[in-house]
Amino acid sequence: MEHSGRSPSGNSVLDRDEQWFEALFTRFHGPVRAYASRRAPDDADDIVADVFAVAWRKRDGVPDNALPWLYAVAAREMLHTFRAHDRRDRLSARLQVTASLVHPDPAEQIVGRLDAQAPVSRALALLSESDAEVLRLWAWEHLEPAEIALVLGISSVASRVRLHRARRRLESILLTAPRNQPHPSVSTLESPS
Amino acid sequence: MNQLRDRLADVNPVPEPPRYSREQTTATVSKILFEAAQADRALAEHHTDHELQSPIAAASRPGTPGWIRSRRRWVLSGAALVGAGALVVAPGMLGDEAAFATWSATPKAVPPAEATVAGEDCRVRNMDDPTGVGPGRKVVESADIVLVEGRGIWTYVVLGGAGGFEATCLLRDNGSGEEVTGGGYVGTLEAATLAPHTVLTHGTHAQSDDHSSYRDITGRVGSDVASVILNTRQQGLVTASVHGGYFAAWWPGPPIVGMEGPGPEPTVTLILKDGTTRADIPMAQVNPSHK
Repeated sequence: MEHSGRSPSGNSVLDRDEQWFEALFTRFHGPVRAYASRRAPDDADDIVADVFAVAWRKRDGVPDNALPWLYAVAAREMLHTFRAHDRRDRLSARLQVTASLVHPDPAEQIVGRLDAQAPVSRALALLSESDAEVLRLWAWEHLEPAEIALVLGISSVASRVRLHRARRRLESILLTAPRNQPHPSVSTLESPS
Repeated sequence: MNQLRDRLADVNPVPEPPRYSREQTTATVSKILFEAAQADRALAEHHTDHELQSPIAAASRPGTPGWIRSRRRWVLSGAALVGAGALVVAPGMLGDEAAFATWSATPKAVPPAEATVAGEDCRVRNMDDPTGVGPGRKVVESADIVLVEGRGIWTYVVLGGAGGFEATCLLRDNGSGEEVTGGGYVGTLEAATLAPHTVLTHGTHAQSDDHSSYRDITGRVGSDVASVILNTRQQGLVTASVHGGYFAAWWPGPPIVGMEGPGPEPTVTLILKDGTTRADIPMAQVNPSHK
């Protein structure tokens, strides 16, 4: 059914029925799935289902600006997913598969999934996970500092500062890193076949 | 700054959000709502067992409007039932076009206490059978309230009992008001022969007045079926309720005019409990009357 002129996340809490939920899902499942695919491609569909199941259960608490809230839930769901799997096994398995360059790995294994020759990829991989995630939320999810704060559960000021520092660090690496020299850890990503 | 953002965007491994198809969306939403309703129901049943032991008679509820209008159809299943039937009812019975404005393609769970009230309403209304085609009072009295679902202000009830008895009621105002119409079947859908991964149904029936129409469908579900979705001409994808081995759905449409008939039957998509989907099954494959 069409729900024209109705913002799924802008309704009053009283209107949060199945139609509201369907509209919320229709509007935001794409970005949430992309967010999950960028970080945990093997589990992306499960994460989408889990995130929206949480949204339905906690529908009274979903803010009007729903997307950062959904990303925050997704981040927690991914944490559960990674804990549920053997994280170390996942890392070692993925490092042996060059297909991982097509399907992105979890955030902390960014080295393994980005183009080894790309200076930005290499620079991003050299950052701390915390800095890299701020930059990914900023550039890949197109979030502004206040929204990044909602996802990471930090204050807007802290988010602004963290983003500023992460940008500076990335720029610094890009300026100083020699071109066309793969990061040492990337050299292990040869296909076994 | 924007240049840096653009450079980072260039290494985004999934630049375009991969979106689900309409069917995948419906299936996922239905699955989430289905599982949430199951969890809620389990919780509610745990807490309200004592309430369910003493169903509240509809007539005893204060402020219940009378049974203003109703039409009841009885159908003998089997050879007497071929394809989708249409019944034209009294002008204005279904109300104007706005009558179904609150209808939703996805059903909502009805709290157990309200479901019992609506179910008992439906039972009382099925007791009176001037046509003589119905199964008789004893069957109706002993029938189970097998499924109660909500769509907007509407509550739809399915009773199931001995001899393949099924009766339905469409109740307005969340079951506290009038019944628009209802119907029933006396016959057999051989649930015992139902394969786990499929459904059996008598097909849809349509009712219409000068302003609007609605179609409804009930049936049995196999033990592996988690969700049933109907692809209808009038409303697109409609998610059926599934409970107690039955499924049911209804949906509004424009009035059925003259000889045009109720239109084509919907196709049926099944989502099994293991997550697999059986998409767009023709009605002929799940309605024994078509064979």
